[in-house]
Amino acid sequence: MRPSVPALEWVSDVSGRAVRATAVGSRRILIENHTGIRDFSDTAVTLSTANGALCVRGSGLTLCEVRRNALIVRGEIRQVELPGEGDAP
Amino acid sequence: MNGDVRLRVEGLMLERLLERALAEGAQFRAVAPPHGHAILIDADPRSAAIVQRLCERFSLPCTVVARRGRDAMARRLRARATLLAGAVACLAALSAFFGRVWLVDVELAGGRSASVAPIERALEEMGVRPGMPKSAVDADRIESALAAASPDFSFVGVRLQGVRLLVEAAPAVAAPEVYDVGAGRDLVALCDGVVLSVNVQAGVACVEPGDTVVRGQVLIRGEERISKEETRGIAALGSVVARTWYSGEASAPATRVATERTGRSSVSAALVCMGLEYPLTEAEPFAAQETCVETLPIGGLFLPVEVRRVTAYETRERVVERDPAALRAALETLAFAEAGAAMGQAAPDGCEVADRWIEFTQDGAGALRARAVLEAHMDIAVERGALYRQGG
Repeated sequence: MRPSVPALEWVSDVSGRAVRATAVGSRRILIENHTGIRDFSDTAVTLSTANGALCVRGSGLTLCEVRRNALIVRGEIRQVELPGEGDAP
Repeated sequence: MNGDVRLRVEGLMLERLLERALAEGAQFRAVAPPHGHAILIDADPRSAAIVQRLCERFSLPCTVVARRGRDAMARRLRARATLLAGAVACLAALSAFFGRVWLVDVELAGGRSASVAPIERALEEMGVRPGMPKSAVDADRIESALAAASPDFSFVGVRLQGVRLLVEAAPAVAAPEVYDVGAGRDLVALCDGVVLSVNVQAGVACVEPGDTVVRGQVLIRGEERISKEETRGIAALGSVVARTWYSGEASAPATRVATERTGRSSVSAALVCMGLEYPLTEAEPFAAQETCVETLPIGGLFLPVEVRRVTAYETRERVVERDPAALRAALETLAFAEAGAAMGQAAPDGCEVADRWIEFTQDGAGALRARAVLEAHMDIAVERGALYRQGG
């Protein structure tokens, strides 16, 4: 049951299930709470999340510090496509 | 490479393999993007083992490209057990080497010279020698023992510098002579001379500048007037600087006898075999001659027969003049050396050489004679005992 009232959006933040992407400049992005690696190439990394697919596009991409539900994408990052609320798999 | 193990995995849908490995607890330091159908994975040894097990299960080719870190070091050491043993042996040898004293040096401090033999002897008696273990070296105890055994040294320090045991010793300074004003004595002349200056600190001067004095003459009398009629004896003190001369002589004949050949010669030969000699030709002997012997083997290496040929050259003796400049230079050196030795014997503490000269004479026998003179300015006032110590 997702909160529908904007005032309660913080509930999903603290619940730990929502995907979180933290970009540091354009060379590194930390993605937490993903559920799997869907596709991986040096130009695009697609991850599965609870809300759908998260795609990082760029060039020379590599994965670093790969954990069960978190990883860092390094490389020349040009675009991050975040999953929408209605994009659940 | 970031991880400890770099794996190269080939196959399709390798993202699924990564998913399975992550699900089993693997963690990856880095994953390079697929190149063709292969990816490079940097992981710790445990995660690499998970990936290898999965690859084996799904029949995917997986190869270890490189290893580094502790895991790689452990594998290398397991493959080279002798290296480890060698390293341990080397460490043990180094430990044994640095655990002992290999050099025992005795150095003098203070810029004074003295014999270190007593210290070396004392160290030997205490058992301090190269090769002894450092743990057996008690620097404080050695210091105390050396200080007690070596009264000629005012300071003895012992310290360990790596494998070197350094013993520093400072020779003791002799105590100055104590001046006892009550011990009556006169100061007399050490040698003949002409007085240049008189400096009296105690007593009465008996000479003045310009006087000629002879050895043993009283220069400063040790007396002090205590009343108009009465004097008492005291220790005379002061200095009397005088011109003194020391000479040395050397002589050598101005000619020498040279031997030269007259031009006449004779040759004799003999057959020699194992010590036996058979004369082949005889030669006329000369009254004075030089001989030259030549040996000619005739039997090869296996027959010890040889011809010995002796060539005699007649000689005669002729008197020739020596090089005058070289002779004078040699005699000058010898004469001044003798004069210097005489001066050094008279003044062991050194003195100032004011002048020096040399004169050459030729005696009736044709010998050249050199007489060198050194004029020195020195304090000739000594107590009478010093004369007795020099032979009266």
